[in-house]
Amino acid sequence: MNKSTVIQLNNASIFQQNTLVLSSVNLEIFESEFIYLIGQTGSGKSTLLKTLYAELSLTQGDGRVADFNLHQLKANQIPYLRRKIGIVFQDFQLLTDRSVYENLYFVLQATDWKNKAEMDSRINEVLEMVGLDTKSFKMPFELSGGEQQRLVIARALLNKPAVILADEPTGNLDPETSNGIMELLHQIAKNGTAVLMATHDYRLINKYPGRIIRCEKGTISEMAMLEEKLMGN
Amino acid sequence: MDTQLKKVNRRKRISYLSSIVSIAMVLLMLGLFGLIYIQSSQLNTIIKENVLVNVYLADDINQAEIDANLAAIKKMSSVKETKFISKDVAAIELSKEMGQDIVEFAGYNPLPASIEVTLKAESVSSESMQNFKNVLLLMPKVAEVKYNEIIFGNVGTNLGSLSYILMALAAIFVVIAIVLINSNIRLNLYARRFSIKSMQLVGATHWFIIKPFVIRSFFNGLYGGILAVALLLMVLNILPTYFPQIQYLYNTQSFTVLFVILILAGVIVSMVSSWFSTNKYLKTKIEDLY
Repeated sequence: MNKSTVIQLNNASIFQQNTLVLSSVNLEIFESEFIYLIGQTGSGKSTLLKTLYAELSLTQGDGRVADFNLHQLKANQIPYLRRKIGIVFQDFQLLTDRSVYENLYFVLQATDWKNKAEMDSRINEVLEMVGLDTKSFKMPFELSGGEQQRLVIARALLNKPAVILADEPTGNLDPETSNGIMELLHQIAKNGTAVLMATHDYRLINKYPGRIIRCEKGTISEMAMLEEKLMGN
Repeated sequence: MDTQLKKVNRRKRISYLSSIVSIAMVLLMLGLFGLIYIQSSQLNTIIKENVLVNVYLADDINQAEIDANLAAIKKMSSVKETKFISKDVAAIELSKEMGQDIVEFAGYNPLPASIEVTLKAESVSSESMQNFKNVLLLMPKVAEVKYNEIIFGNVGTNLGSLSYILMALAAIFVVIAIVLINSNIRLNLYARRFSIKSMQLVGATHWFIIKPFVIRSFFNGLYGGILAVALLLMVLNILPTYFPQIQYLYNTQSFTVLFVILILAGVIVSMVSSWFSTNKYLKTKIEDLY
């Protein structure tokens, strides 16, 4: 069975304001894929992710994310694009004055869910997926770093996204907690949602293999095998 | 857990309360200025409406001509009140003031009959007084028209200057009020800028994000306005204890208008500031939030 494309960039130029960060970017990501985005700090990983979730505009080249044309995307379409993707940050960005349940409930309210029973059911479902089903009443600051990141992932999963864009999701976590998050993200990919994860952590890439895209010298390139790269270093 | 939630809720309540109190203080300042403005306008009106114009009548004037002149003066749109003073009444009043019978002293009544005229405040100015005097002098059997031109000129000039100064101060106070309320709201929203961004990144539309902030600002402005009005009412109740004469300047209608304006200003400035500040953070790029 052919897998459908969730992200496609053709000859795209990625700008941070007026500065060209990446050029000639060609990228195709399919459902269920797990892709690492690697590269040095400042190489353009985060800028590429921001372009994919329309925080930055794609002004040159073609790009599609979850059936939205990035090049022709209007400001009022951006929220609808973001409902098709899940965004996971290193610094969580949770609503700190709301409980776990309220953080998730807010997303469903904001994305036009109306039926309270369905909303509760979906919240329980994603909390179970990330292993936080007993903590729905907790405030974010009462959770550990790993739990907060799980909550962010649960939030990203609520609307059954086509792809999760994760910007260094394990950057603030200890190795053991990072492993738990990686296992969760890989499980999500296996269930059909593509995951594009920016990271510096080669240990994780080695432990949880996936396709690797490298940002380097103002463009991106695909790496066949991490082991080769590591041995070369 | 309950304790943590209570702490968060208490922090939220304190934040709302401090916002309401800040808005109330700014509106109170504006309201106090409004009161001064109303009181000085009221004083201005009273002074102007107490300036007397004396229309002296010829000695040979008969009752029919007096009645005709009185009726003609009363009809004039600028006139507030008229009072006819006959030769006899004039003599009695002057005799009382002098402590001596003026008719007996002079051997005849030298005083003319007159009409005392007071004008509506809005019609009182040096130019309009001169026109008024000219019109009166054209009336039959009017011998002379007198008013204190020097005092009148000073009253007009001083009250005119005062009114300009107060208007300029009012404009400055309004700007200060807007800036202070706006800063207060911007500061509150600055603290929530990451939450606003998070909401945006999970797919909430602009309106969905802005709505609760604007609604909250509506209530903050409303409660702030009501609190300011309550404090002003207290001030108005306390003032006559120390300055009993001031209550003669009280004008319920003007106060009501001032109170409505204050509440509306609180609500509108809060809502508009909230709208613009939230919008600003919605348009700000993530890296610029730090």
